[in-house]
Amino acid sequence: MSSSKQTVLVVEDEPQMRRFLKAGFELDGLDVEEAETAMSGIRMATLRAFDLVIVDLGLPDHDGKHLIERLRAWSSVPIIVVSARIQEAEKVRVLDLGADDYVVKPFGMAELLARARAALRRKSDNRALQPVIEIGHLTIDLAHRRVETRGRHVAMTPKEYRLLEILAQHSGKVVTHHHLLREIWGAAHLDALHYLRILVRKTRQKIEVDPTRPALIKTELGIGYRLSPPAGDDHTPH
Amino acid sequence: VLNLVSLADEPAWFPLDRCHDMNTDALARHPFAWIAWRPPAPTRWRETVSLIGAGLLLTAAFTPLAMGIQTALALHDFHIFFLIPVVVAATRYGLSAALASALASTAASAFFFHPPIYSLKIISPSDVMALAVFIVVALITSQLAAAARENAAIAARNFRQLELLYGFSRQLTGASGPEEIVQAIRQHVSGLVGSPVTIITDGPDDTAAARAAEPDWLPDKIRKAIGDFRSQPPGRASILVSDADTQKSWLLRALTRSTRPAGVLIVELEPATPDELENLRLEVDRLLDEAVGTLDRLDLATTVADAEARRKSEALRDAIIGSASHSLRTPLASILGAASVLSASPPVANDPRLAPLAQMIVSEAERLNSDIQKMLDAAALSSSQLKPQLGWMEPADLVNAALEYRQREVAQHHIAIDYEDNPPLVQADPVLISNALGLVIDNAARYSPPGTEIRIGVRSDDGYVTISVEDEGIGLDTQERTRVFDKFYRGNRVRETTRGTGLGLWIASAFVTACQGRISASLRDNACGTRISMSLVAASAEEMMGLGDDDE
Repeated sequence: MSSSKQTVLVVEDEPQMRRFLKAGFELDGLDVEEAETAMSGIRMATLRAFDLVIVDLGLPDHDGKHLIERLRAWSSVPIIVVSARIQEAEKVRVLDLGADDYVVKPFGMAELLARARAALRRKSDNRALQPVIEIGHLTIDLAHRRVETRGRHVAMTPKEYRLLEILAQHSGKVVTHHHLLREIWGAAHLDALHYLRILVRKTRQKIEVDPTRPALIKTELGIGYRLSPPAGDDHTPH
Repeated sequence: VLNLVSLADEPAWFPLDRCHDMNTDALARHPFAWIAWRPPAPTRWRETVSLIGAGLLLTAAFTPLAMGIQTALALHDFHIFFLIPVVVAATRYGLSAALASALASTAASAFFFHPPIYSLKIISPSDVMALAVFIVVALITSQLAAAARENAAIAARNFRQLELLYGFSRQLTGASGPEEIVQAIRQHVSGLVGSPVTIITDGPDDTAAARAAEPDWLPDKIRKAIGDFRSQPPGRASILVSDADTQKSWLLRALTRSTRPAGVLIVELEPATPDELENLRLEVDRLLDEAVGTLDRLDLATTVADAEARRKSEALRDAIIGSASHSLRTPLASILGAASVLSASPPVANDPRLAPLAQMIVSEAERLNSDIQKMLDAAALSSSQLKPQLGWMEPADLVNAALEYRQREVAQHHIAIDYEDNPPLVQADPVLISNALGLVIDNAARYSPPGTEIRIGVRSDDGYVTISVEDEGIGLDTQERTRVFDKFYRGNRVRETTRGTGLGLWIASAFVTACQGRISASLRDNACGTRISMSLVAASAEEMMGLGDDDE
């Protein structure tokens, strides 16, 4: 755990949910503050700096998306959305608004804690983006635009490299299809999902041990892709 | 085109199904239609000539062969071998071909084998006797063989008719609404008569939402005739109405013979001469008599009412399940969350008596959640709220997501995955298809012993990519194979021993179908166990190339 105690803001209207979230985070060594509505959540976030915000989408006064939008206007605090029955389109929307991750209710505390730790780690890492990123046997040298697996250079096409670069810049975070399509092919090709699928397949064939069971470029079905976080930060339960 | 009319105040038409070529459609469903209904041919001489020709040809083809054998073996009473083409002709082409063959064989025998050779004359009296016996035997044999052939054909036809009738009555009793019943009758009758059939019912019918204009595809004259026919007291079996403009004729007849009218059945007939039409009418009437008799026995009115009641109760049940599931889920989220915190907290985790209990709450809550999810899916499906978001997907991504989603259920099994090299992308709604695949995998794990293997295969073929899941369980019997995708169906052999809702494969098949895919169940090749295959539309080669890649 980090040296100073980190604090989580939980914005959730159901008392039962709040109770177990508080207990769960506190057992993991984090402090917890609670808000029942979107407006009180926003107010509390302006009064002090939190290390992490957990927000439910179905709040009594405003949609949780409103809170994400308002917070993102001035803060880069990691935000994790928890919600029941969240549709894929809604997930994409909250990610595009700037949420870091989402967890679908019902969920186990272990899952949420893993996501929370990953988000906190990213926050401390990402202050200054490292020029060299190492994930398992893969090394991405962003300064020299060079990719290696097990120390051996991998020849990549410009688009393949661009894909890896974008994912690496958001390492551990989901990058949506639209984001990738816009960055790699431009705004005119936002619907060309199959371009992206084939590009990802080719890239996986170059860097993954088993491209059909990818360990580096993970698929978030219907949402986008996520580059596995660097070693020691693996939160995927396998 | 099938339309439904309600007898209430004014006729209203409900288009249920558009099917331009109902004839072919019906035939595809009822392969025996042609056997049951063959238009009475006015003259058969052409056919008879070709049959006689076939008989003669058979003998002609056999003769050189016979001469070869005779030369090689120098047999004596050779004409007996000529029974072979006669029997072949009788069993394959019937009596007239057999008779032709018998006569030709006698002639050939006399010409080629009985001295003097190459003459139809016969010297030896014993040869004359033998040939006479041959003719008698050939005639009797051909009679017998032809009769046997006829009997076999009749038996086969009866069997198919019974099979069809059985399927039809099962369709009727299982129908979940008047539309389905009318659909079944229409298919059945048009299968029988081999012509497009329209049915207008007077049954209890409150599906007025789909009220549409009168069908313009029927000429005015026919519509008027239908109206007249419907207002008549039941009595006359059928009437024939012709339309001079289209040269077509329509046969109208009451749907039941009972006093209570249930509707009118309209058969569209092709242009024909008055004599032919009358023949047709008699033939169609006879066939319809049987079908209508069946309908009477099945008590159509009651069946329709039952189906309607069933549909209403299903709708109610789905509504209840839907709202109940939502309100069950909210507390479940707290239970699961709280239990997961408890089971991870040091006092509980370190106590060997408590830790399994907390873990049990977690796993049971997860199981409950997945059952609730199934019910929600089922409710959404029944109220047709399903709107697939189709896109091109990587097959491996779907398989991996399904396996991750079901990792708890398959923990006791070995998973083997076999991908074809570079399979095409598939058209799928990622959520629906990964769920469907998850349900199939869950099913495989549930009905095969722990420690056995579950094989997942991905193969492309003919515009589709097929993802198959094979287990080493008890497999499926014939009934299970046809019903395994039915709602709430559970196999007799597993009902008592294994927990299940009977919803999983039904949901899976509905999800796959919604994504324009196909799903099927079969036995594994050369091994015990079940194989469920889902085929999804594959991306074409151009789509797989369409990268517009300025790379490399």
